[in-house]
Amino acid sequence: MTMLHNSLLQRWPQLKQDRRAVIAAWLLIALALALLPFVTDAALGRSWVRIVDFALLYILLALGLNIVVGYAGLLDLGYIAFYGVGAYLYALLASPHFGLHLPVWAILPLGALLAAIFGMLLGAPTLKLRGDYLAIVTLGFGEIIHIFLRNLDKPVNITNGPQGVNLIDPISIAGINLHQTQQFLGITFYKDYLYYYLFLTIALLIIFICIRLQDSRIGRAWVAIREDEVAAAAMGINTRNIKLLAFGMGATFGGISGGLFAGYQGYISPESFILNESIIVVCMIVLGGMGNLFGVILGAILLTTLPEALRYLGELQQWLFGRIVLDPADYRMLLYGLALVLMMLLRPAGILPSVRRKRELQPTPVVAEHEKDTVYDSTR
Amino acid sequence: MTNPLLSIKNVSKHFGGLAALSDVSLTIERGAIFGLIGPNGAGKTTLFNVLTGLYHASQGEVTLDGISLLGKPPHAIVNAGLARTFQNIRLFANMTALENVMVGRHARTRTGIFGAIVQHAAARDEERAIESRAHALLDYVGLGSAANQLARHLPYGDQRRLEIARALATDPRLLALDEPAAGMNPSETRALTPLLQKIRNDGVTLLLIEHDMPLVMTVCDRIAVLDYGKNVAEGTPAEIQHNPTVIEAYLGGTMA
Repeated sequence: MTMLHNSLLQRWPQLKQDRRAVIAAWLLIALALALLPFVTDAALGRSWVRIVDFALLYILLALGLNIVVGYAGLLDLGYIAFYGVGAYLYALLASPHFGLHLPVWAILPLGALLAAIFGMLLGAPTLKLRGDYLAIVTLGFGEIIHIFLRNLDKPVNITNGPQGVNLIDPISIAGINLHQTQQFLGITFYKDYLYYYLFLTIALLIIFICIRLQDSRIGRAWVAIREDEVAAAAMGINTRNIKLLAFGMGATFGGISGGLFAGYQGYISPESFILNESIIVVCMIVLGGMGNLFGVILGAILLTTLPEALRYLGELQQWLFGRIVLDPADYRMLLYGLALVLMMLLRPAGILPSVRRKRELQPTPVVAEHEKDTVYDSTR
Repeated sequence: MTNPLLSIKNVSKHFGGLAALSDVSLTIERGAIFGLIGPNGAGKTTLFNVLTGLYHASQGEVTLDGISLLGKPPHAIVNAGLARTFQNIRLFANMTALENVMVGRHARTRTGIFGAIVQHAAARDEERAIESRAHALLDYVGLGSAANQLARHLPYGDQRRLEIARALATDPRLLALDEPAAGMNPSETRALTPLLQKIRNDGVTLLLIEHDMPLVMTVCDRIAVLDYGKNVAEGTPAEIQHNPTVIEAYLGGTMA
């Protein structure tokens, strides 16, 4: 096994150069992604296709928050507010609530824009804050949005209060209603499949954007601000604008994800946009590996699927003992929490740490101990 | 002589009741290496922080090539052509040497979000230019072989030189160095003199805070002495060495 592994490692540069191998690998990945809903449905059932769809929405959220927290180093605990803004915008512009029925291609960009504006609104007063202080302000911001969503049903009914908005229009693309089962070439595509392909397309687009951003002038400026804000300003970086850009860009992804969520779900209520959700998204990026795109994606997938997978503990017991000894409903979330604690203890930099984060958690080997105080500003 | 590069007029800076700088005036001519010396706590770094926009002066006037700098945010001052290094090295510790210098190009490049995502021809060209310029600057300060090392893994003297390369990446007209030789060993300090002279000969005026007197006396054309936030003397190295006020400031009245 290890021999095979080693020989693969040695041949890797060669393999990478072989264009055909690269193309074959990409085709394989594309095929796997294309077949995923069919395989999942056949193996685990329709409800799991739905879970995969939600995992994709959380990937969008995690990638957005990763820009703010992972790159720019600004801890945002109110991120779910942007998801809420996107979702409510979709709900209000495409439901009987106001009698508006705008198409999705009009609403999603609007939702992204509105979320970006909210992102900057949050960013503007917090520019001078960092770390714990910033976390508390953003937490408050998240709560404010949530409370507005709950209470803006009077004096004028905008959000319909705690009942939320019902009968939201399904998303339709090029005349195809994604809520209706479709037949193409004799293959049946169920609702959850269709949404899967839409969410996957958008997720791939956003991954592409993130990859492009992280090695750009702007991406470097974000990391520089995280590393040392004073030095970043001394390099001519307008720290105010670049931080606002991070807030705005991160919020954009949240707004898009929210719009998709509203269209997919068909109804939304303020309870989908609570602090707990913000924390889960933060967990996803911390657990996966802050700053590393694929770590963040993995974190989002794990944290959406794990609580669902733990439900199967009941079936496992049925199979092992012939009866359910301990109902997983009682302790499912306890195990979930335990898994989080264990993962953080075993891999503090995340499952797939970004190269840079890994460095931060490592001791500095070369600089001698006695020099440390002078090398690094102790006030940082 | 009529058109100095940097002119500091009657600058004062108070922290509460403490006058860190009072009525400091200096002019720095183009192409000079200007030394700023003085005992610890004399206000040298405070003056740097006022010049580079980290502190707001309580009063006074600072102009770089006729453009007023006071009240401008740090990044605008870099844009105007004044770059600096820090006394307690402030590199981007977890970025490579190359990336550090590439960040320094930020002020002179334009690509925004759109260009970064679309990577149109202009954006790609700019990114390539940033990288090749950063490599050139690393070679310039003698760190060409360390391009892919993390800043925090570099030896101390190299970190100082990397900070200089990063500051040079902003295309400054005036480069302000805050104790570049601090913590360097003697051979590293000796290597600093030709580097500073090379930078000056390539058209960048230098303002230098330094405690290493042999270095200051060899490399500087003019020197100003700060003591208790006041400009107590100014002149050529020879004049400063024989100035009784300076000797008193440094040695508390006893002649060495």
